[in-house]
Amino acid sequence: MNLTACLLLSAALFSIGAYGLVTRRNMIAALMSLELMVNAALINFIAFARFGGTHAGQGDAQAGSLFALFAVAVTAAEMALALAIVVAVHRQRRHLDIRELDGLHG
Amino acid sequence: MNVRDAFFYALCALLLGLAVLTVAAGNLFRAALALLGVLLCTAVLFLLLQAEMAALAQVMVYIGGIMIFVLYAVLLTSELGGRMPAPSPVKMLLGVAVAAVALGFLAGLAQKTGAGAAAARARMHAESATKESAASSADAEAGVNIASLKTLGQKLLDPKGFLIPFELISVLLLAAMVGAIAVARQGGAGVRGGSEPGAAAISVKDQGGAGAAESRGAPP
Repeated sequence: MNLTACLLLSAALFSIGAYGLVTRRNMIAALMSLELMVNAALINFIAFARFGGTHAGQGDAQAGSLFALFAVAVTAAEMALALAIVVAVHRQRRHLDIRELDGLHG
Repeated sequence: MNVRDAFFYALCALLLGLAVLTVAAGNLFRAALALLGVLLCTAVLFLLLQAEMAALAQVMVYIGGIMIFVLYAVLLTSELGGRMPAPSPVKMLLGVAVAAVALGFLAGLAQKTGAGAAAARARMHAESATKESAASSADAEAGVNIASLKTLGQKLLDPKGFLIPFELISVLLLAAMVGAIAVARQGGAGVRGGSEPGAAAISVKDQGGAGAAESRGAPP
């Protein structure tokens, strides 16, 4: 277990999330893929906090944990809004297909 | 390879498998449950990396909050046993290409960063070995600033630490809450925003019409 292993894990998780974001048509499924990508970023924060980057040679454990905490809070806000939009769209259109949602096309 | 490493790699395998299930499952509810497993595995990983605060936040906010949201949204908007149509082959190919590019780029970066960090650590080790006793190098190895709950709380409320982002986050969360309620309340912002000005215009026209009729009716 070292920094490289953690970074590789996070890279793999991010790629899986990117695949889901491209292929999924359902709005909630796309949001879940987005969650995977955010999770990969969080793993990076914690990994650098634990093992340190190239400069100091040693991570700042507190800063890393707190940044992860703030990122979690921002994600919570984002998901609350996104799911509110999901509910509103479903109530109005009766479906959640991303490709049919082109109401903002000029 | 010791027990900790073995556990770490087993956890990684489980996490990635659940992540694949999240993006590939045909049933939305099953995908949501797989995502819940991914988040739980991540929390265990944070514990393994000695970040207990992050693990707690992960469990409480993600699993206790966001996943409940997602499950509610899934149950509200899609039938439980329903299957989503599989993506078209072109789309799948595109997705694989995007994922491969991202993975290649990030993995190369990870290798480079990991090697650089190892070099920096070795350099620091050498410096501390020549300069001071073995105690400081042992300190550096163990990580001097431990992210315990107490020190994190003090750092969070320290004006020289993270007080300003902490307060800003509270404002952000409040705004998001109000916004979510406003959007989800009745028919969505699109419907209301679209219909209300129209309704207002109609009522104004009605009044104008009535006023015109009145003024027309007045002279005789």
